[in-house]
Amino acid sequence: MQADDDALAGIDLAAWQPPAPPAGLADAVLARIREPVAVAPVDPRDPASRRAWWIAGTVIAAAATVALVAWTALRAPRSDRGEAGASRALHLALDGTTADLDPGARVRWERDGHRLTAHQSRGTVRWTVADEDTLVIDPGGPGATTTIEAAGASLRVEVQVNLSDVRMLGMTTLTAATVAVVTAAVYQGQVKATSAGQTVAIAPGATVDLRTSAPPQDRAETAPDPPPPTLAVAATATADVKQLEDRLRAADEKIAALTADLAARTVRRDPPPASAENTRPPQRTAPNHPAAPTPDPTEATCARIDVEEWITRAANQYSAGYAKAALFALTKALACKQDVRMYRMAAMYACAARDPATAKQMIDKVPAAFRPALVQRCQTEGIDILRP
Amino acid sequence: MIAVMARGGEVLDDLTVRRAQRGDEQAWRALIARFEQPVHALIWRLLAGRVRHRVEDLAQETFVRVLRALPAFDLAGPAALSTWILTIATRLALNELRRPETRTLEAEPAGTERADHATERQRLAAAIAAGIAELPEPQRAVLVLREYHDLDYADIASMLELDLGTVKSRLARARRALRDRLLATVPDAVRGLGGRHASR
Repeated sequence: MQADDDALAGIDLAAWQPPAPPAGLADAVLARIREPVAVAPVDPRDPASRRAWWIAGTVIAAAATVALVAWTALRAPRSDRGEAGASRALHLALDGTTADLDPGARVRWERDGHRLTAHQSRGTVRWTVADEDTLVIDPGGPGATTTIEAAGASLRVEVQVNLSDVRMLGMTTLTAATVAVVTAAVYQGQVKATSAGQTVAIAPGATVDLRTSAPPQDRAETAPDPPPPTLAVAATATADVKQLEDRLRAADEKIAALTADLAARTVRRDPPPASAENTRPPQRTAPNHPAAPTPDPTEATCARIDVEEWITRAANQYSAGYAKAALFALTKALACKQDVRMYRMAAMYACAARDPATAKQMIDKVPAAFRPALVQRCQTEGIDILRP
Repeated sequence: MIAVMARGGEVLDDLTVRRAQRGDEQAWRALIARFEQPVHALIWRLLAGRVRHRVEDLAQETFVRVLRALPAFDLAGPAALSTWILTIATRLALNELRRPETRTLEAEPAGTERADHATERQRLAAAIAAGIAELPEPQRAVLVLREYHDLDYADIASMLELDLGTVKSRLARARRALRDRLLATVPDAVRGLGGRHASR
């Protein structure tokens, strides 16, 4: 490389000199920098110019029309439909109207303009209906006689179902779910409810039960006990409703746990020592089953309790993911009615509620043929029933 | 104070440059006055063998582009203002060289004197012009920037977007080719003059 660096040594490269830059280079550059954009003068009397203005005006008017139409189309609710089943709390935004689904709830909806039709087949949903929308809830599906209609309102709708019509078709078990009762609690706005051909307006703060075979019934008329003050507040104070419901649900679960524990203790109770008065066999004891856990004073209560309703409620709570509440409800029913099916359900609910003591007691009451499946179910919850 | 040192030794103070960046016309004129000679010379040498009016056009175009891009130029950046301006001029000239239709049939005059004058130095200048004009464009650019504008290898590599080794190899080949050409055409003039570098 050194040789290359010296390749031009001794040669006067400066002999080749450029001429001086042209005079006025700066002026020429600045003239080019500052030269205005050439714009043809516009003669307002020129027909071509007037035509251009007309064309421009027409284009602007057309664009404004298109924008207005597009704005109107976008603002209007679209016609659409959908379906949602909530395995956990779910919020749906349906063009202004919203639905908050509790776990286990299932909704199918269809919007036609401002009319929103919802088939709420099960579970609890809190609806907030936009002022311009009309919501029609038909828990029983199209053609059902039980409907709720709301506009600009806020309400909670709870659909309880009966699981019935269990049939065997080949190797498939079919379970038909029928709507047992629909409860509508209105927080605000105008709501109408229809059942058995009768329509009533539900005032804010009121709760109505709807059954297919009966006209709407105000919960205040049917409930044996007046609601606690907090419930009254909840009905009127919309903002606090959700919080109060959460507290109520937690209380329910706590009661369920306590009741289950009480039931377990009752079932575990040793038989009284043999004596002259106690040598006769217990009257309500089945051969393979222990004595009913409910003492005599409850018989009067059992007469008033709709056992099937408690069973249904337990099934609903279980399907909604509230195992403790389900166990609580089933324990209520179990106090009045005992059979293998109920013990199996109780064992399953107890496992799901992570209550191994109750689960073991219930499994003990189940025939041996059913136990392996229940033991396996409990194992999925981390409960080993076989361990002493 | 940041100052832009031009090859001729004149200094363009940073205040003037910043005024030029803000569009001050007097500062623009000062900047053009400072760099018009090296820009014009660089383009003239790179376009050796082409019509003269294209050199003036490209010199104008260089400054138009410089002034338009000047507000975005970072005075504290790695590139010196002079190198940046010469880079623009070089790229414009190389683009021009890639246009086949403007090559002239007769050689450009060397400086203010014409080559047909019978002086030895004028014959050397004409031989250099012809020798550089015959160089391939990549070699020509490297040779002119190094020998006539005293740019270092790194600056040349940056301006031409080449790596350093390529710059050195092209420069070596260009020097050998030009020497061989001069020895073949003006051997007496080459041996008779002792100057090494061009005065810029």
